[in-house]
Amino acid sequence: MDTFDISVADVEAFIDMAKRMDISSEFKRREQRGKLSMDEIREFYEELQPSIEKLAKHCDMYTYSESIAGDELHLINLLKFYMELAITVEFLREPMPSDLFPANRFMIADVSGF
Amino acid sequence: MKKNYAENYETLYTPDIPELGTGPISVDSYISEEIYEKEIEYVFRKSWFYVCSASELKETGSYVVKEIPHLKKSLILVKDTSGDIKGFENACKHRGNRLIYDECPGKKTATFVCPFHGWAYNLDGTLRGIPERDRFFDIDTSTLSLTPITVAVWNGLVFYHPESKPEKSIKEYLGGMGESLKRYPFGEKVKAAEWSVEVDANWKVFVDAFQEGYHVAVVHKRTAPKLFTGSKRPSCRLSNFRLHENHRAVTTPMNPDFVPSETEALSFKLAGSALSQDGMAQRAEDMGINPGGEKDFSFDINVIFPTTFLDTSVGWYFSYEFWPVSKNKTKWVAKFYADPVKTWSERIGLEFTIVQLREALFEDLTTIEMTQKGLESGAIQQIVLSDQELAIRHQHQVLDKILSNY
Repeated sequence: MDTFDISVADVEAFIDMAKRMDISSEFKRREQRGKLSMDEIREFYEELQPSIEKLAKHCDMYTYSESIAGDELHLINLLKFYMELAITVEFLREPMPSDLFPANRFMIADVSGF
Repeated sequence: MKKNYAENYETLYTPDIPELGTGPISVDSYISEEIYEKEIEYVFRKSWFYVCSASELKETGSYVVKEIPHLKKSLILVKDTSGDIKGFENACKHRGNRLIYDECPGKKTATFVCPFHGWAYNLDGTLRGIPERDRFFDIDTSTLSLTPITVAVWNGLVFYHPESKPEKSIKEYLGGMGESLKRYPFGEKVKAAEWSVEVDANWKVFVDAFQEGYHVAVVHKRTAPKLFTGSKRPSCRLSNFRLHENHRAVTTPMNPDFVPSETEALSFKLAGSALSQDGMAQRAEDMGINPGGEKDFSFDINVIFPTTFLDTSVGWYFSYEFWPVSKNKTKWVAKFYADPVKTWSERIGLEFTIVQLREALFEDLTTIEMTQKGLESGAIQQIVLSDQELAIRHQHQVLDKILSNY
């Protein structure tokens, strides 16, 4: 059995989770992070963390292309969001450190094709 | 100048370059309107500036719009139908309206159409069409092409010069810095992230902060607590300073005892060649980076005078641009480029690095405005610099030398 096998039901559950959040760009993922409490972030991180490598490898079934859409894109955005939250749990220890430069002045470009 | 940090953490570099001196630097340089105006006139109007990677203009019709605030200019960089990268002023030849209103990091078009009256231009800048042309008097359309600007492509990087006939070609301008970077595959890396911000600080406060590692243990204690510093090396000391006339380069070593966090380790595993440590030393040598042969190499900081930063590692590089807006306001653009990914798992793995770098930059930004406020307050009249801040000293010395001629 492939180490990276993950059940269809598990994948669908994570896709449903992604659909409930507005995380389609780097800007939105950071913004969404700022709306969550540290407890919520930790809960999300702990739920996804055991499956993250399997889910990432699962995504290799999809052709790497800018035109990806639908459930496949939802899942990829969810995994990118996990990375956004993992920094918070493993390094920052708070959703948006309040003593740093104001986030609303920082422009995050939407980089297409990558 | 080749001293290996891995073998000699205590090395001092400044004594090897006595012409740099060791004295303080006047605060006037950061707060004087007169000095700022001279810098714009004699440095910023007479230098080459990095504007984007050629990989951002890969296909015919790909374009980038760039604002140059200190010159009140907006530029269009585009790949035309002949495959050349051309540059034009972003102004319609009818009544001067901007052809593209927003600064955009990369789009594609077949024609540039003015949003005011619909004048249209080909990708090579020539006029394509004028609505109701028969209502104009005595116009010669051959004189109504978009105003060209001076653009040069060097090793996959696109540079802009404000003068129509620069004194030096980009290759001549780069000199020894160009020689040291000529094998680096800039053109093969792909833009993965772009961030920008306008900050209330003199451009030099900003530039200074990014060419020393002395601040790392303090400023980046949250985002990179173990990447550059550890128990054996409590300070992030840069090594192998290289001065190339007006430009300079230095190597940033990693903490040899660095142990990645759980997700960080996973991202290295997933991200493929962009973050792979396999064959790092040989790959770095092939690319001409890490010339001092640091065992624990992270990246080189390459500063092309006055404000272009190209920080090069094996699988990635990032660029910084600093565009003066006024004496105490600077627009900053940071871009992260990496080896092209082939799969979604590689892309997901790279996301951690993108987020980590972005958050580290937030930490840097926090100090910039606070430093400017301190300098403007009159509390201090001069700044003192350590051996590790010699790149700042060099930058000021180059500037002083240029400005002293005027």
